[in-house]
Amino acid sequence: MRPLLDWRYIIASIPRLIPPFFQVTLTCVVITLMVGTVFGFLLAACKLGKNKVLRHVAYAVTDVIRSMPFLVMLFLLYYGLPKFFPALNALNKMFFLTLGLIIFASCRLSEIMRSAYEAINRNQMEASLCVGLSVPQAMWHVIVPQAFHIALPNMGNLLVGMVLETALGFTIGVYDIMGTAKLINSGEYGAHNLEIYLAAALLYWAISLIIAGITNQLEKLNKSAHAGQQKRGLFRGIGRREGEA
Amino acid sequence: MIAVKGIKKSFGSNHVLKGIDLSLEKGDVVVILGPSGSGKTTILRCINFLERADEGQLTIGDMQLDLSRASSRDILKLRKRTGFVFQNYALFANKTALQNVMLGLTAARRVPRAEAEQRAKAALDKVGLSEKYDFYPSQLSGGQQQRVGIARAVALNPDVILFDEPTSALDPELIGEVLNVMKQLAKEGMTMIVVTHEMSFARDVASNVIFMDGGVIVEQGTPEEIFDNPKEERTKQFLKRILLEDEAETEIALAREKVREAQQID
Amino acid sequence: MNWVFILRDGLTAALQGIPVSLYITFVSLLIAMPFSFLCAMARVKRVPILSQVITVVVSFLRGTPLVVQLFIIYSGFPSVLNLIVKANGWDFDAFGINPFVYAFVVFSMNVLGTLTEVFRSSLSAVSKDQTEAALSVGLNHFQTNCLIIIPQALVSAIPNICNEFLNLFKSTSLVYLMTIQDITGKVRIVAAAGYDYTEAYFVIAVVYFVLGFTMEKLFQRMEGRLKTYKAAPQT
Repeated sequence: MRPLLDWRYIIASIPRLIPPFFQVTLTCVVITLMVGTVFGFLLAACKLGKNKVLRHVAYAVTDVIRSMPFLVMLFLLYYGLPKFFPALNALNKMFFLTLGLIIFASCRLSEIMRSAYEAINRNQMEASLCVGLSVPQAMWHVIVPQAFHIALPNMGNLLVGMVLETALGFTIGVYDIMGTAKLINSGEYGAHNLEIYLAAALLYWAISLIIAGITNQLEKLNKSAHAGQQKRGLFRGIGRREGEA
Repeated sequence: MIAVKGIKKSFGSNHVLKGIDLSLEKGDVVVILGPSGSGKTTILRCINFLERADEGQLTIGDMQLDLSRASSRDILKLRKRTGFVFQNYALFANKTALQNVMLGLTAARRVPRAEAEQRAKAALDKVGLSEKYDFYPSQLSGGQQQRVGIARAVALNPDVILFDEPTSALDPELIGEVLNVMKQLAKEGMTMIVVTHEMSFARDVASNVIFMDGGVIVEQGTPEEIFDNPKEERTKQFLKRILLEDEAETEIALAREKVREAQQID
Repeated sequence: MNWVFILRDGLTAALQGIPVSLYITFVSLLIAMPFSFLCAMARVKRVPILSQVITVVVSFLRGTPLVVQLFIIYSGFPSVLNLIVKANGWDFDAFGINPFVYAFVVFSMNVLGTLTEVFRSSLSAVSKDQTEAALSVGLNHFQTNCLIIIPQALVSAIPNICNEFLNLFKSTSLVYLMTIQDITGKVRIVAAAGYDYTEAYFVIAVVYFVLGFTMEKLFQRMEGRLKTYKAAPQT
């Protein structure tokens, strides 16, 4: 009588799923982060800038992309791009997965950066200018460090989200964790259906927990390097009437 | 020698400044009084180009600037000669008190670190915060934060310091420590333009008091002239109201002190 | 680009698929909401054992991809069920369960994870002095919860719930893996005839955009109206 849930199989499968993680998932995510930050920053700058046309374009682009399911965008890129640029047919399918991730990440990052920037009190910039700093100097010394502190938790969430999205790569034939799991499963004619997918799930879960842990550590480190204006509890005895607008 | 001529500023259809002239010599302490909406904060912010005036000329020392058309380079040069103290302190939240004071020196004026640190520490000592060099703004009380703000302006060795209602956001018990620092500065000969409601400060320290209302200067003169012999009706009304509020606030502060003493005895 | 396909076949197919997508979204959300609210309450009240279990389950649901959860339920579960059925000799086709059932289970589970967090944070966000005021006026804990805390929490959770609705609607695009034909499924079938896949996905993308945009505007209007009757901040 076959056991309902073959635990040993699950544990044995996990090591088989780790190489695709490094080869595919990690590569995609790292590239996405690097490129996505640049484009996200550019989009955020357009949204915050003075040029009305650029602003509307940036918002329109973000809205359109955010309304699409990732799967749809993936297919659109996979089928659509080679139609107009036949040369792309020769490329590794990972390219399309990474491209989709970059587009998604850029939009989300632009929103994260924009809201972090807007959360900073206006008087920080004014005070920097009054002290004689130029705008770029003010950004570097005062504004960006504070924005980074605000954005960090959201960026951690985004990172976890992206790792989970890579699982859709198998639909276009990319063999990441999920793709490899399906491959193994079909190789065994579905003998260990439940187990292999559970193994994949456990691996993803472990990865997301690790990322969450790293982000928490980073937040703690960042916090000790600068105590933001949000903290208010320390001087309860002395009356404080902060005259912030 | 600082002079402002013919400042005009409107926000949409709201004419906040309708043509103001102001002049002061080195070492003068000018206090600007007036009801809210009179434009007193706007004038300060226009001088430092935090707002762009619609018209006006600014002379500071040998520099002459058109307030509506100055270039960014000129503005930067001007800001290196002025200091600004904000109503809500506006300390850099991600820097310690010492770093707050040093930033203007190291980044904006290329002062070497060691010298900047020395000057910053001296400024913080002067405002009575030698124990708080490495504290972040969120770890300081309102009065302490504002004193750091003043140290930040003082360390830059400016020609003039502009104070925008420096004590309005503070609880009454903390106002005294900030005013004392400002009085000390005035005694040492710092040129100051102060927008405030603190009559005691104006009376004790100002060389010139200006009363503004509705975007124009209604009356100006020495503290004795304005407080003891106001000529204009509007000035008289304003002073009466402020003095009444002052009395009420002093009574409240005294009552609070009594309660606190009673609690401490327990 | 085959515009005839886009405008004629693609659109009609998409329109046929829209009800399916909306149906799955609505039902899954409706199933998940009461459960996630209860879970959130358990977390906030720190019910022993239960809240820890919920924390772990929520962490799993949010830390694994939807696809993987989908395959566990759609592919893995029937196999196990089959084993049980065979072992007991029941007359039941474990592989014949309506895929819609699986869809509801998968998507409501997935939403459960996020919604629990949403409700938990909105419950915690209700200011403590509301409870203190209610108690000092003489209400007991149960009344305080029902009359004061929960209504406020629900109102403040609405924007997030709407957001989740939109996200869920987008994730239902995966139902084609369970042989259910939603927008994506129907358009792809029509496209297979002429290999007009690019046009197909273009249509799908446009349909999702139009729907998503409309729904977002609707939600914004709804939230705007709710704001007028929400408590104004103290002056």
